Amino acid sequence: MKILLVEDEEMLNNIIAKRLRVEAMTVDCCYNGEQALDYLNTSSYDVVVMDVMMPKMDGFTVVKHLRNEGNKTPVLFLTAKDALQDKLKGFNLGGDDYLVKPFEFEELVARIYALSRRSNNHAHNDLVAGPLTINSQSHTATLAGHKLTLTAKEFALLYYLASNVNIVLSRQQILDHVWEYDYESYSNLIDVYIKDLRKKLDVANESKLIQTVRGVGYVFKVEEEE
Amino acid sequence: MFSKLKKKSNQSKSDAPHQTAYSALYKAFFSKDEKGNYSNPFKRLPLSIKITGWYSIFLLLMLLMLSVFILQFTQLWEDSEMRSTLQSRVINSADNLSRFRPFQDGVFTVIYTENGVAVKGAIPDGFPPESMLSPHHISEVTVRNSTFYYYDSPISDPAFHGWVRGVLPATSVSRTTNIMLISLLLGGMTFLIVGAVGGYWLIKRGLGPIRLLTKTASDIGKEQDLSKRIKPPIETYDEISSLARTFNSMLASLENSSVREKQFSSDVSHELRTPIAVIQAESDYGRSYIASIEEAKESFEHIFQQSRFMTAMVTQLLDIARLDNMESIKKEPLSMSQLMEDVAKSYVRICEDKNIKLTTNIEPNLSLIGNLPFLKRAVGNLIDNAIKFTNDSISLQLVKEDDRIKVLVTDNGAGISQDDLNKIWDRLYQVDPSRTKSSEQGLGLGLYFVHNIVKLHNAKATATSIPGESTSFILDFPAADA
Repeated sequence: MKILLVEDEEMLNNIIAKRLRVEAMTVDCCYNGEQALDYLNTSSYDVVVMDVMMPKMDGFTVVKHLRNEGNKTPVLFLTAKDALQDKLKGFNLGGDDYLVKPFEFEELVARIYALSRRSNNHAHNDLVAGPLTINSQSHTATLAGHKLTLTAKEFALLYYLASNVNIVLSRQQILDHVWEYDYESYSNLIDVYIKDLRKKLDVANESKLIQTVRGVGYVFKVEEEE
Repeated sequence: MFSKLKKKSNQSKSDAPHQTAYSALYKAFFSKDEKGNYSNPFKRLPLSIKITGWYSIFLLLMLLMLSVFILQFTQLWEDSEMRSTLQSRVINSADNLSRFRPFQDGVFTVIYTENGVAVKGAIPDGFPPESMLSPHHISEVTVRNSTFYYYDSPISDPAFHGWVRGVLPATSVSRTTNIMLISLLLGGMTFLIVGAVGGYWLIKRGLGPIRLLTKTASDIGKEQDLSKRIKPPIETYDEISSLARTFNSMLASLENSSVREKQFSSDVSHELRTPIAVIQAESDYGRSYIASIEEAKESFEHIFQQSRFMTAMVTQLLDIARLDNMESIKKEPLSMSQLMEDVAKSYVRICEDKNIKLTTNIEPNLSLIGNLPFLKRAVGNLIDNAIKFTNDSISLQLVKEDDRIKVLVTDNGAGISQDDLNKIWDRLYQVDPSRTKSSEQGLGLGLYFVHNIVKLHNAKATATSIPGESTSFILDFPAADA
């Protein structure tokens, strides 16, 4: 899962990012509203965690711009503003959730999962794609009863592929969604990860789940049961 | 049963703005006060009833005085009328005996011979026949509670020597007076009742706006809604409407200060929440996920910095709370030149560390009346502020202009826009809401503190700025008479 974290207090930004990375989330950090808009225009995110009082452009304005452009990325306001009218303003401008500082990490994480669940139209945290079941909260992937041992990045990659069953994803799309914004990528980085992932998925004699689409990218293929 | 009924009517009307005089009276005499005691009921009577009562008493006194006067006058008039009737009847008869009537116009007439023997006529019952002759004036004789007036006149007929005596019983005299008295009593009563009722109605109408005022005030007290206003009586400029206006302007200033207070506490809560959020997040993360001692040290460093920041903020808030409650401070003559030199000295090192050039231009031997520690803090806060925003130099000046002593702190930073200049003395105001340099950035309380100190010294604090070039803060004190 890829998160954009917008928070002008550097210490808080760092510690939230650290904590979200523990959850195997991919986190991009930015420190003001204008920067956040740049990130949102160039990359796609599952959830945006947004402070309100920030230099250059406040969080409310960022979300207003975002929604005007038709961007539906779920936004969670994380702010010290606890007045009712601030909360209402946040929701009315297009925010999806509102959490007041100081907060508990567990709650923040649970809310982020809830937002992603809702935007992906999932009923619970288990993602089922053919023989594969992924639980994002406990970071476990089970393939036809076999538990897979994956690194954080592999898990994120598999999660992204499996949440787009039968949809061909380009290498750029995968890069945007799984790797952090400022990641120094080299040409065959994704190919290497896919190769490793395929090897680990080989435990059961399943037909090839991850298929290469020549010249385009990869697809997570699940046979439709008629 | 009766008392129940009374209570009911009292309850049903107690909320209505126009309570009846009856229920008001009932309330004053039969209900308990806040402490549950029956206090002096006259103190709790509504003003309208009190006024009506007082002027009714006054009216009654006036009426009594008038009645006494009228009665007295009538009596005098009656008396003289009676005397002239008596005299004219008697003289008339004496002049010409053919006009003699034993009883006419309430006067009994008798003809006596010279020997005092009654020849003709009648005397009223009870009149003593042996009364002395009264030929020159009207005499009065009282026998067994009945008073008679009588008058004698010699008969001028040459053929008959004798007297004509006229007697008038006093009872018939007071009959007119009695009628007068009764009509006065009835008229007075009517007048009094009409006056009291009409007056009560008028006073009630006149005091209506006061009741409205009271109701609004008590509503505001109950609902804590300071945005309410009293509707003053339209287009009138009497005492009550000016009272309503005064009340409204008081409400407006109360509302204003309450809004500012709310804003301040919301700002403070925001400022305190951010460091708490960092502390909580760092420690929450630390207890579950920190693996290395280096990482833990960094985490503790963050927690420490944020708690220092909070301590500074709480200290400043307490200072300001203390200063806000202070109406005057201890002031004594002090050398402002010395104070400025001391403050400048204490900042030399700090400015050197930050590569800021500190220039001073302090006129010697300038003194004013003030509080030394507070003034030091004020000047210090201005320099702290300048250090935060300056580019590379700060100038500190103390000059005397006429009978004013001016402190000028000038930096060559980015400057402040005109809009912001008006707000910088407010609590928690920051030109840039960014807190990215949280250790460098102040809390927005420093200048507010300066403003309050300066106010307690009857001085003025102003700021001027040339955007992109410099900002000057000026404290303008009255000089002490040397």
